[in-house]
Amino acid sequence: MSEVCIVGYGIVSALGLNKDENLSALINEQTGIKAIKILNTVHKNNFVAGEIHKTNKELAEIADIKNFDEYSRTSLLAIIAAKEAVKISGVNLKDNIKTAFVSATTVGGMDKTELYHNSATPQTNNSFVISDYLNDHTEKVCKILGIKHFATTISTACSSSANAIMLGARLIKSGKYKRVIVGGADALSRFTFNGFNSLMILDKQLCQPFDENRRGLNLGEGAAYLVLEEKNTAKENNRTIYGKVLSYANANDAYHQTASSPNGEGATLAMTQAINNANLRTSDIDYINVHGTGTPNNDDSEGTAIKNIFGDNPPKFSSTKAYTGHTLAAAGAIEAVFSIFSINNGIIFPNLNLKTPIKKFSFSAEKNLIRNLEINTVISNSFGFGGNNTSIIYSK
Amino acid sequence: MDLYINGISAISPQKTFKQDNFLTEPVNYTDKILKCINPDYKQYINPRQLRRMSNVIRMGITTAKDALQQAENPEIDGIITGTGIGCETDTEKFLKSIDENNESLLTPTAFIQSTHNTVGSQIALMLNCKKYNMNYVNKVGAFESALLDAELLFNDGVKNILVGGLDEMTTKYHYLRYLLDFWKKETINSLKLFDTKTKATIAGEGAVYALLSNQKSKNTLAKYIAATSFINLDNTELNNELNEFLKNNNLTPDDISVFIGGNTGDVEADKQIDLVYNNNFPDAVYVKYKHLTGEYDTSSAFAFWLAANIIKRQEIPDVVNFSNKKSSKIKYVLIYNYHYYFKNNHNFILLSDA
Repeated sequence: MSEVCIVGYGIVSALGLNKDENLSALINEQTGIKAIKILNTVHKNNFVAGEIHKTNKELAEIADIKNFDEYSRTSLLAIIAAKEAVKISGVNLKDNIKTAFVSATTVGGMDKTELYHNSATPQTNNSFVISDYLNDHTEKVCKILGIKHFATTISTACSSSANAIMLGARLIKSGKYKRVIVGGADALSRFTFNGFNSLMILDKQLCQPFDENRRGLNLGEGAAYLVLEEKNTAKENNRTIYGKVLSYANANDAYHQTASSPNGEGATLAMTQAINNANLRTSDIDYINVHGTGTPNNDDSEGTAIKNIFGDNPPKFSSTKAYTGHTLAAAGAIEAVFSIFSINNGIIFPNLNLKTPIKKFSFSAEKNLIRNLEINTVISNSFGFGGNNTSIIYSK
Repeated sequence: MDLYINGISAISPQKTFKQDNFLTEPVNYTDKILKCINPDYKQYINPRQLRRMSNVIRMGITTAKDALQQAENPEIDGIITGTGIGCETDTEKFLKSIDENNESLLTPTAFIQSTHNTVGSQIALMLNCKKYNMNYVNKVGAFESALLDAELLFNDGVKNILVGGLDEMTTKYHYLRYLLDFWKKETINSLKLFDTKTKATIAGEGAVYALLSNQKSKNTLAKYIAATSFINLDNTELNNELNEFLKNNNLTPDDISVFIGGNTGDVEADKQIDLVYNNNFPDAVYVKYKHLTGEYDTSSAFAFWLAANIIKRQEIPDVVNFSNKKSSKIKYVLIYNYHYYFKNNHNFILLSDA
């Protein structure tokens, strides 16, 4: 039975523009959530976010793109992360192995679209309209990397890139492809900002996931990609294997369009199925990177799911969203990279800003950075609007 | 693995929803946008919920329910949807309110419903389905991605999957692309789309959901065999991939009795489809459909509905038949769609009789 190996990864987030900067910030317990500088919103001074303090022009320079104003911010982030992933993997995409590409986003090039959409003088520069499409960034990355054959884009709100990783793994396990690049990207936009604000689930201060007094989430932006290869292909090419995608599951809450069910049903199903699909016992899980947005609803629902499955003594868990903010579609992939960091470095990154653990649970998220651990198996959760719940298990 | 289409439902600009007749009364349009003929949605959706739903959500829920009903309501193991622009009406509504209210005191309804996976999740809610639920947004390859995903699920042992492709067309969306020459400038009769010798095409919309099953039943219309999607290939590579795709399914080009092309009436872009047809399937019946539906990202879902019905009824409606041929026994049908404006995304779907 083929195994899905992670042979490369790339990431850009509020913590840094590449994997080293991200790992460094995580270890130094340095949050990336801060004042909003780039996004032009009236709410700028009232909120904090995991914004990347680089203009599109600066991002384009990093991405080595000349005509930056033809690219949406989401595309630029995707290109930076995808390029890093391929570079780290050492893969030559011109070799004779067919490579598929699965990306994900929630709003795509909305950062560009919203600039012109209601303008009295409609934009006739077609880059605006083209970046409207959710798969625009997918096509741009494929063009730049030289990917042909199958490329697709998933959009299931906050679980999007986790689902992209899952599809990539399934394509490899089915034997259809020996190599798939997977991940996702989302840039901040007024659309998203105002959308979440209208739902009243934004925290004006630094968010406090899994805290009794949490107020909501902080938004973030970013992109991350993994290069997945089937095990024999990885070995034949002497790749460094950073981890494996061991198993995965997707389940639907079928409860409400945006709220998660209070009994954590969808989350329970997703985690349970992922554990069963891996032929593991609950005691085999070393760490959970929770979805942990910091909203009253999510953390309650997810905490309940953890209790349903693991009882009162779950594995160590933490939310890294207090570092990056909620990066929406990119979250699953960004947190996949963080899971790989945990596995390779034996470190559990803290759930920042935790003061009072949620009272109804007998367990709490990890407040402190913990080193020198044997971390072999990590569950990463991503739960999206529309009750879309995905859990992925990464292993050594 | 053999997969069966046990129910399939289409809402389109034609009389396709719950009709006994098969495109015997084609509807002609001179409008800029071919809008769907809407059924009485109250029969499928609670009026209180209906009120808030944009048309794409209504179309999706209704065709999903109808497809399920046709298949006698099996328990489903998943819902997979493809959409190009998702809930565009709600997206525009929210964008407008942001500007009009200067980002203040906004109501969340439009935002909530604007997420592209709203249709799939609303269907899950209606059916109380807690199983796999996925949503593809890959423009012209979105529906094919959904089919591919379904194939993978069936390999893992599921029994019934609801697969759909849908898009709505809005005035605003249409207008912004009008400025970029996406659409024909002259007024035309939609049914005569392929007589126009100009570039660009006409806009449309539609929704199709199908119930795919690993078991044949008395309701089976056709077999779904496979789908594939490519980007960035030149014509030589495309030809090789196409032949390999057929070979992997134990077929040669000669086996194809009906070729359904996603011709748009764009005189330049259609050359590509003609090329693939002439090079590989010159003896197949040449079927076209976008003069019935207009162009939109997931129109190949309509082609899928068309193919399933052609196979079931063993007849090709005159209005879609663009060759002087008839086919005696219709066994294998190949759908080819590619993006006429971006010219980079080639998609194939293969069906056969059951």
